Amino acid sequence: MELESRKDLLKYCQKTGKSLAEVAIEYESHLFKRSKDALIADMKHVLTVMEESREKGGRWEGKTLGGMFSNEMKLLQKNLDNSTTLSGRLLTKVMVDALSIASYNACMGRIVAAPTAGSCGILPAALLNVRDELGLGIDETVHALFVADIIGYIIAQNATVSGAEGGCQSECGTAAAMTAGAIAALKGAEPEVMLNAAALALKNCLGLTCDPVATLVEVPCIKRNAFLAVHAIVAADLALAGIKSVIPFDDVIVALKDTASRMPPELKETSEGGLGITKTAKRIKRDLFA
Amino acid sequence: MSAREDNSGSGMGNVNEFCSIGPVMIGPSSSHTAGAVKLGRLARAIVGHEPQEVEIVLYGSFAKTYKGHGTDKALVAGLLDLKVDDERIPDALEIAKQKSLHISFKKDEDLPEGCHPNTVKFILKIGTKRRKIIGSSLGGGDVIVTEIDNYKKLKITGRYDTICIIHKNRPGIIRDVTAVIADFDINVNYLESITGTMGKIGYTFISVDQDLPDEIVKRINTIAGIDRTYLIRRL
Repeated sequence: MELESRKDLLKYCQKTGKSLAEVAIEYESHLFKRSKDALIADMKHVLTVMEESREKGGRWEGKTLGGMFSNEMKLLQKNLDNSTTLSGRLLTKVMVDALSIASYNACMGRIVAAPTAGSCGILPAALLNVRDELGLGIDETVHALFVADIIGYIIAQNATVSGAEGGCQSECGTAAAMTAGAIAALKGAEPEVMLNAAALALKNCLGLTCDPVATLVEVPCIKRNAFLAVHAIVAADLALAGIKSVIPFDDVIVALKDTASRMPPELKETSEGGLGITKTAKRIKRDLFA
Repeated sequence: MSAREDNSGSGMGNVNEFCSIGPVMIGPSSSHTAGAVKLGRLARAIVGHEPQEVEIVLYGSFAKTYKGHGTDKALVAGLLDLKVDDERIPDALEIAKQKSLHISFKKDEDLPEGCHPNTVKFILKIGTKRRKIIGSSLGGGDVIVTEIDNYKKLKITGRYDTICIIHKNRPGIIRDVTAVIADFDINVNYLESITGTMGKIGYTFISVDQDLPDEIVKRINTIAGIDRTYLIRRL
């Protein structure tokens, strides 16, 4: 049994009549030599940690380890409460939660890497809020997580999900693709629509570099989680409306790999290019690591 | 079979890990936080129990960025055998003080030869013994211990149960040891035998796919020429 591409996944879904989530669970059971029940139980634990990270992440006080963020999501929460944001209620909540979880990570909070710690706010922020909005239960949410997981797997197998190898397009881009697929799953979409959503999300992250200030997972990482959580919902909305990605998911991954190979190391998690070499960044780095 | 998670044999050390979701971890960084916790745990597993005193030398990127990644806390947390998702990790330095575990930190500009940029050296004091362990965090939470005491170029990742055997060199000794392992229907995935420079004493490290039963130590110790056998349990 080999499911290593969009093509493989769609063929298998069609052949078996199973949902993408069911196929993902079956495949992971085969890969890890663990029972489906054990996998589902563990994913429920993951979901619990995601919920906790959202809750605790919304409440923390002080500054992140590197001092570059100090619970500013509360500012956005205030505007949400006053209904003064331009983005609708759902998207603003998503942004607040993404900031909460990503900044909680930078305070040594407990999070779920998805696929990495730097992008940990994207999937839970979008998933939990859409789930709440649609009034769905644990089973549908866990299934959506397995859809996210298999999407991330396909990207990891055919390109890379590491910032050091592929830049932020690989970390946050993958997180956004996983999230877009998961959101479409919550809406009961067909496998092809879920993978379209993933393709759209990933395609619009191509070229995103990893140039963090002072090599820490704070700037631009924390706020970027807010952007990409919303970005994933945009991708899901497009796909759910029937808008297709002209470049299918497998090809977008080829493009990801190609782009990654052309990216200089200065823009791949070394802080030696882009934002990392600005005057502001240099000053922050100097003060931090003096 | 040891009573651990049912994923033995798959090399998956952590039930909190799926294909791209997971692990559940304390942030902010897989390499500089979670990886550091694992290195601490692996060092502790190698020496067999909690040390009384540890000197920690940070190299490369660990040395430069440890404050912003909590690497110092993570390393100590690992030495205290906290797992990567333990919410006590940020308090590890205080916990160490309470347990009278003395920790000192040093930074070193010069990376040990051939080592990855995220490298740490532990000098652990247990009774009158001093043990040296050098390990690196490779990214994504993967770690590797490359030096134990004077034995270099090792590849101990913490993903698999590992046996360390101290023995006298003689023809057939490796065969005899691996035969015992085969008797338990266990597959070897890594074997490093260091003999030459130590004169007549050899050190062999063997990592295996499946979890090792405790009794295997007794069995191996009955082989002629075996001086000592100890287990490094997978993380």
